Amino acid sequence: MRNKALIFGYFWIIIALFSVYNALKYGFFHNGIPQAGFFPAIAGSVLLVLGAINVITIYKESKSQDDREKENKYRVIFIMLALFCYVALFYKVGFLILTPITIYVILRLIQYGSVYFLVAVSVIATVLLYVVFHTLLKIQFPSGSILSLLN
Amino acid sequence: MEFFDNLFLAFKIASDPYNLVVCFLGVLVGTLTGVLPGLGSSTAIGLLLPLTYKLSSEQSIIMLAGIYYGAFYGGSTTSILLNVPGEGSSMITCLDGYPMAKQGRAGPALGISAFGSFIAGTFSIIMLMIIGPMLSNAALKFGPPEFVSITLLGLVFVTYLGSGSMTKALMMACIGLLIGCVGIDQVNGVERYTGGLLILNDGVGLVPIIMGLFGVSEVLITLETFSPNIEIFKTNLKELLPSKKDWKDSGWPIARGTVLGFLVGIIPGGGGILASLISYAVEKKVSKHPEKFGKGAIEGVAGPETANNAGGGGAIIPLLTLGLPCNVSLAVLMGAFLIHGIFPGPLLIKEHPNLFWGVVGSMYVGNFMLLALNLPLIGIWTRLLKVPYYLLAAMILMICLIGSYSINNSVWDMLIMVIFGVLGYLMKKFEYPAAPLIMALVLGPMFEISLGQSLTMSSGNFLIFLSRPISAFFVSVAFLLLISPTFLSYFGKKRPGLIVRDKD
Repeated sequence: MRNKALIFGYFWIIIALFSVYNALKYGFFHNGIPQAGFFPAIAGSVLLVLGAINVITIYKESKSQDDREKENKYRVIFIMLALFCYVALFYKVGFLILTPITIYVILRLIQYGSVYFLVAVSVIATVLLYVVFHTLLKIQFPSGSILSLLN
Repeated sequence: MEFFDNLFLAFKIASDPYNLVVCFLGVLVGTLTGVLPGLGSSTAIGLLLPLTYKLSSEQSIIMLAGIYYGAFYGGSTTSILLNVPGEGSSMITCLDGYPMAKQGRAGPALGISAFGSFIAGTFSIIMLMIIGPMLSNAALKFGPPEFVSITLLGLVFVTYLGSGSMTKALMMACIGLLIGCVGIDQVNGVERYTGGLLILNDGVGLVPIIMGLFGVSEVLITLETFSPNIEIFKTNLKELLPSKKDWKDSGWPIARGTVLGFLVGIIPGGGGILASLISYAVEKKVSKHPEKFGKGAIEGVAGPETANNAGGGGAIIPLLTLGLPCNVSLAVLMGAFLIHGIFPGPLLIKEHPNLFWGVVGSMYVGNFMLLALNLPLIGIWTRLLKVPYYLLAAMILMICLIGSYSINNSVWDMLIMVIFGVLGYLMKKFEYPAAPLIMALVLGPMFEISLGQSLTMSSGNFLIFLSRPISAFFVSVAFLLLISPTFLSYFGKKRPGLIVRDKD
């Protein structure tokens, strides 16, 4: 767990270095007037110092065991993947086909239940979302390549 | 006379049928989010933000404010019946509320908590009406240096009173400020951190970040640790009304909790958790029977629950009058103001009187609605707890996805939402607080502009922040707060946020 915390700690330091490096390119101070890079350079520098303190603090901490169940961890990772897939396929597959599939996959990842029940819940949830966002709020959803080909 | 004119205006706006409907929807959703563990008011406000785009600014803010203060009422239900706080601020209620429920006194605990919340909520609104315009007038004298220093103080307060590492909280505030820099610089017109992507020219959307950091990450972290095996105590309306003895025991705790909670609430970062914790400590200290605390003392429910609501109500004052959100839910609410093109702050009452007084009036009405919702309908709320979490989790994830898409009909917003969902999950795992990030993100652009104006005024001299008395005071307090943890640890003491965490 400590190694992962360290990696995450270094992640913030990289972000800080990236922001300071770019901020200096935007200009810092000219004739007593702050330029576009002034504010992000200050924020990035403070982040860099704090990030270094944070990493040193994590180094000093004693090693601790990760007691979370592995099964739950994988479940979370697969749900994250499902969310990324939904975003990637949204325009291609379209709302009406992709949404029930994604809801089914998420439900299946969280709870092992009857297939019929999970399918019914996925369809009902999709209809509800469609009514609220498309019918009531007039949001246009992509129909996707598959439905477009059928039409 | 002006007070009554304003009161009349407030009720006139609040009694508009549409406003009544949105207020009811707000407090209903607020109570629901308070009741359901793992769904905070900040998440709910973020989730419902896209739904308010079709409403007027008044209606939107009335509804979202309803969610904010409604959640305080609902939070006590799960604390008392399940020993699981629905809201973080109801954490202390578990200490005596749950033992009361085990003794068969869940009803009086829920009843006194609802009545106490109502009294505290009403007190906060009256104080908002009295203090709000005064504070607003005083703040009109603030120039850019004062706004820089008060924003700095607000951010430092939030990190100081947070229940974790102050270094990590300050880091998250810096991240929030940096995310706020993405897009075209408002002063110099320079593209910053866009990577050439046109979609980032207007900056990173606030709503997808909120949905990701609070909606998606909360679901992911809950799915790792959620336990469905919890016991719910049954209760009925007759049992809900506290007896004369209960009222006698709770009278002073409610009075003390109201005043104390309000005072703590108006401090940025103070809010409900700290208010309820201090109230509990005070009640235990002044009680003739401190040994009863933790074993089902009604004073241990009445005081903290009242303080929690008074704190939540009090926290609205700095937002509406100074443009300073005291907690993350209010930072999200401030985001809603900005999305609707309204800048909360000293000019709000003058420029948007209908909005300000409409919100005040709706809070009065909303408090009555909440009392009605929380007492007779308690059975429905407890039944809602039986909704399987996997259904709720799937729906939250989908609402986050579709909600973020609906902002600009753009898949980019969905992608940003998912990225921040994953980042928020990792932040929760490694104990990096999201609240300072959101607050800094909301305040960042105005902070940067005021900082630029101040330095231009002084030809780049940073001493301008120390040469003006009000600004110097705010900067000094911020500096003292920043260095105090070092001194406190030297003397073996802890800052308030860490005391809250230890109690948790």
